[in-house]
Amino acid sequence: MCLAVPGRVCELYEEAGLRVAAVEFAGVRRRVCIETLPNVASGSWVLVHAGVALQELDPRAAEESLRLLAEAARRGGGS
Amino acid sequence: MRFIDEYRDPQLAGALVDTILRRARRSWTIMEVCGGQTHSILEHGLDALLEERVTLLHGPGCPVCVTPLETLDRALALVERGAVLCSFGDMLRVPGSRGDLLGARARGGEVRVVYSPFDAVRLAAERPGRPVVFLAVGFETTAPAVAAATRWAQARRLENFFVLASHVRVPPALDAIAAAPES
Repeated sequence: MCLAVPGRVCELYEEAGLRVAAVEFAGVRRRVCIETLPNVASGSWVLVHAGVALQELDPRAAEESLRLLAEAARRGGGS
Repeated sequence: MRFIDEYRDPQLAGALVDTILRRARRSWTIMEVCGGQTHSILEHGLDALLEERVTLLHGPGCPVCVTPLETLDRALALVERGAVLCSFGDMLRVPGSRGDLLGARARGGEVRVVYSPFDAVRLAAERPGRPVVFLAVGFETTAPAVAAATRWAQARRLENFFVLASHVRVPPALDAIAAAPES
């Protein structure tokens, strides 16, 4: 139950006053609450846990993490 | 695939392992909190890669495993009294003092697996007049989802939605470990 799963937003709508998205996870569509992410749009990738989108997955942030990892590896044992 | 292959680059991982082993001037013991982390560590053999300098201890971090017996007993009693009990799938096999929720379902009780507390609210809306109880477990990351779903049920004026809450917080457990004289 602890897992957060990435999925792609297909459609945005409102359900009984709640902002909801249809999110596709490896071919399976589920309803996800997106109240937490006001700027999410159709086509966005989101990380979902317990039916709530926790964060938008940002390709730039992923690239930045990779850059930092590579830098840490390059600097090696120096302090 | 983009951002999967990059994060599984053996050369980069090897260089990072070398860096860690060179910089660790003494043996380190590190405990990870989350079962998802334990899974990744063992799946990718990180414990073996680092064992020369770093011992990885697998922590107790699973809200399913630390749910008290009494909570399961309460859930079972609610099913026996006719409530529709919803929870995450992993909760169904956790034993109470008189069996688990799967057993209660086999005896005719209505026990439903949901992926989200919002699904339990939807079920309550479909079944007016029948109490729908969400057995809520989880850490800080999960509790807000349950709170949001509860507010949604309130806004929809659903009077048959209930939460049996058994959330746990991580920092007090870490404080207790850190404060122990032997640590």
